[in-house]
Amino acid sequence: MVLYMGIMKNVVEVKDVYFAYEEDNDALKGVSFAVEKGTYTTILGHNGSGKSTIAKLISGLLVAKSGEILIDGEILNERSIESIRRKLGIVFQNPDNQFIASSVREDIAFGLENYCVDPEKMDAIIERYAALVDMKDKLEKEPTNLSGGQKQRVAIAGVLAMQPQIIIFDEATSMLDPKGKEEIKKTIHDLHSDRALTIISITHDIEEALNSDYVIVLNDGKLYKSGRPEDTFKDKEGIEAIGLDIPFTYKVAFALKEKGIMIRDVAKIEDLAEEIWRSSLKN
Amino acid sequence: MNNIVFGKYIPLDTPIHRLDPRAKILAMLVMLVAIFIPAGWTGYVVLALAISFVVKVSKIKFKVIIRAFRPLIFMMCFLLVVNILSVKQGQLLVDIGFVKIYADAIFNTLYIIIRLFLMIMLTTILTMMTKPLDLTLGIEYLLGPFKRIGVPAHEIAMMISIALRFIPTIIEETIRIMNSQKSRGVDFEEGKLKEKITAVVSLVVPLFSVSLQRADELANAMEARGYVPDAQRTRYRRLHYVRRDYILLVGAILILLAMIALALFL
Repeated sequence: MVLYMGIMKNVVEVKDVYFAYEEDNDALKGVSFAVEKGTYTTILGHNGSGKSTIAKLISGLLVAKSGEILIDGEILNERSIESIRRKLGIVFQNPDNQFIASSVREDIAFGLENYCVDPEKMDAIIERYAALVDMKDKLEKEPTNLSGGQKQRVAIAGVLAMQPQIIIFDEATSMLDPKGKEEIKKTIHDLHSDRALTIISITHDIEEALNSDYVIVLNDGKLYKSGRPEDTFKDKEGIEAIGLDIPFTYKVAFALKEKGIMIRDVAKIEDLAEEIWRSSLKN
Repeated sequence: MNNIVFGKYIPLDTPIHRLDPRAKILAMLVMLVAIFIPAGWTGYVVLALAISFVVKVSKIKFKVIIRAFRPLIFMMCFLLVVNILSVKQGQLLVDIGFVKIYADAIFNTLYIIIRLFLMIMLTTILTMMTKPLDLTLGIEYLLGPFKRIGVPAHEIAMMISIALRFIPTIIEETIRIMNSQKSRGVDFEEGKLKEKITAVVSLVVPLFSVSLQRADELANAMEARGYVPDAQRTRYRRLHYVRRDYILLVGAILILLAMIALALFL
């Protein structure tokens, strides 16, 4: 992974973007970052930091006041929007408000209809992607009979069926119960296992950010920090000052350091236990 | 909530269910015209037999259809009174001073009641035996030829199907808001009219605000998945006429012709 990072091309480039919902009140104040192809990037930030706005700008649902957004090397504007939209899928927060049709099967078909896919071929596509998110046995179900997690999985299947290169998850797990959250996180993780897809996840979940390739931290409409999770979470004071939490393993490591026990920063609980064993053996 | 929705779809697998929605809509329209042709009692017997046959095949209980008819009883009594007061033809049946009841008044009312009853039976069969979405699709197909003169057939169908899809969601939302208002002390059941209105406002305002937000998010989701209202798109579900659909249509047209014949020659 380390080897090919940097030589891979940027699939999303955000260059000095400004955006305002109301005049004289910029929600984004000159944000720039890039996302490399095939990576799993998380965007963190407290409420109102502008992270959902970024998602809507990248997917062309909002238009930036100034600045430039490039998707797969193509500048996003009114002319390119339709071709860019085919490269990009987005899964929103509210499971109910993105379920358009009256059954799972027809909801997955919705995007295919929009892209004028031959109806003869739709069933095979629908079944393939429903199986991928483990919803194949629920194809005829209505949204009222599905859990939040299941509806989100249908939304993911609907996006996947359109074969995008990039999928944005805009707080896709935040309205789900713990079980639903785990299901969706696992589904996203599995999707990314072959690294063919670029995933951008806008989230509050620090642990998810820790397991991603890149972290982008926004604060008050500006880029606060970006980089690998290990580097980002080293800045305990800074991260906590802008209203975010740091991962549990990092907290333990910091607390131990304050007591004079030095251990390496690690992401996984198992590695943390290992590190603690090692340091106790040294003493 | 179930008994409020009149003519609610009943998921069964009968020959009527399997018919093409377009054929069902068209046959219903033809039959409605037939009902309004004044073909006398013979005509009504023919129609009643035909519709009863459909009801029999559709496996709906007559009781269910009678129930759909119940809210109209008041209206029928009213009709009867109006007819008695206004129609002064035919044989005099009853004469108690200022009230004179003529035979035609009774017959006129009976005609109207029979017509209404047959109409309700027809429409109930249609909505009970056809999935709301199939109905929508049927309407879209049937309105297709009118696209040229500016009828937005696809948009109408999309609106109806989204409305149908969100009915249960909005009902859930309503119950949730009612409960949260109740927990804050709003009384929906009792109180004076003014208090009741205030209570309903406390329900309607948040419901509107949430629904508008929902609409906004739904529009975003549709746009993000490549939906452009007036653009060309394919349809996953397509309709095909098969033999039974033609049989239904031919049957309906034959009945209409029979009614016209009866009206002309009897």
